[in-house]
Amino acid sequence: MTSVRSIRALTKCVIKSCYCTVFLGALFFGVISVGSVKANPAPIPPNFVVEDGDVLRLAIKLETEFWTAVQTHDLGQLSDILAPEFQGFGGVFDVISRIQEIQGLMDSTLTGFLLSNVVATRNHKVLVITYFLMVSENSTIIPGPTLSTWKKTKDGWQMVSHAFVGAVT
Amino acid sequence: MTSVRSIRALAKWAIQSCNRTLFLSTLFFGVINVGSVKADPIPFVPPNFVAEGGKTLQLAIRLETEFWTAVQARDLGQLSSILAPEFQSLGELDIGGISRIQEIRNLISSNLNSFLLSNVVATRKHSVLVISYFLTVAENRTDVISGPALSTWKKTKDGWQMVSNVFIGVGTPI
Repeated sequence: MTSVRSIRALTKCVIKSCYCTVFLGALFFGVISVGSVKANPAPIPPNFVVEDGDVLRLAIKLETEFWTAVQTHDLGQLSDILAPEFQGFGGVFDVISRIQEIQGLMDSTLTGFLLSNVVATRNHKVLVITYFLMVSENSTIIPGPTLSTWKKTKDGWQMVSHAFVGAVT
Repeated sequence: MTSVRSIRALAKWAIQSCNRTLFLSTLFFGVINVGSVKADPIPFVPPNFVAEGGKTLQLAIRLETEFWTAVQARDLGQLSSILAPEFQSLGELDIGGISRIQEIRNLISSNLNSFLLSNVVATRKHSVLVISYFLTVAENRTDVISGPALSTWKKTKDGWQMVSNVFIGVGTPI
C-alpha cells in the first residue's frame, strides 16, 4: 500500500516537473506573454481590498499593452503611454526620468512576460496597479513586485509612475 | 608647493569628516527632520533629469515633509487624510503590493526618529504630481535606512492626496 502511494507521489512529481519545464521554456521563447490573474494567491495580503470586474480588466489591459510595447520595442506606443510628468524606478538605487525610462525600455531584450496577482484600485481618473511580474531577458528570468500609477486623460490612460523591483534569478 | 596642496587636501578632508559626523549625530537626535534640496549631488539622480523648480518643488517638499512628519508623530488622522482611498504601496521583494490600511498600520507602528529628504525631483501636470527623492530615516537611534523614494500625488477638492508610494531602503548599521 505504501509503495503504491510512493509510486503515485513520484509520478505526480515527475508530471509537475514536466509542466514546470514546459512553462519556463515557453516563457523563455516568448510564447506566453499575457498575464494570468490571481493564479497564485500567496503574495497578496489577506485584508487587501481588491477591485474586480471592469477595473481589474482595465488594469490588465493597460499593463499588457505597456509590456507588449516594451517587448516589440514600439517607441510610438511607449511615448503615448508614458505621461510627460512620468518618473520611474530604474533599479534598486536610482530614479529615472521619462526619457531615460523610454531609452532603457527600448534597449531591453524582453522575450516574454507574465503578470500575476494583479490588484487594481481606482478613484475617478486615477488607477493604481500592483502585481507580481516575471520577465525573461535572453536566458535570465527576473521576478519581482511592481507598482504603477495611471491617470485618465483626454487621449486615454497614461502611466505617471512605475516601479519594478526585480531580482535576477 | 606640493606640501601646501597636501596640507590643504588634508584640511579639506578633516572638515568634511567633521561635517559628516555632525550631520549623522544631529540626524540621530532628531534635530534634522526637514529635507534639504539638492544639497549633496548624490549620484543616484541622473544628470539629464528634467526637474521642475520653484513652486512645484516647494509644494513637493511641503507635501513629503507633512507626510513624514505625520509618520514621525504617528498621527493617524493626518495619515488617513493624506493617503487616498485608492492608495497602494510596494513592500519587500517577497511581499508585493501593500493596501492603504496595511500601509497606515505599518507607518503607525514604525519607530521613526528622524528623516531627511534630499535630491527632491518634482514633475507635475495639472492635478498629478510625481515626486522622487533620496530618503534617509533613523529608527530607534540605532539604524539608519536610506534609499530612493517615489510617490505620486493627486489634487482633490480636499487638497493633495498620496496615491502611491515606493521606498527602497537599505539599512546601514552604525
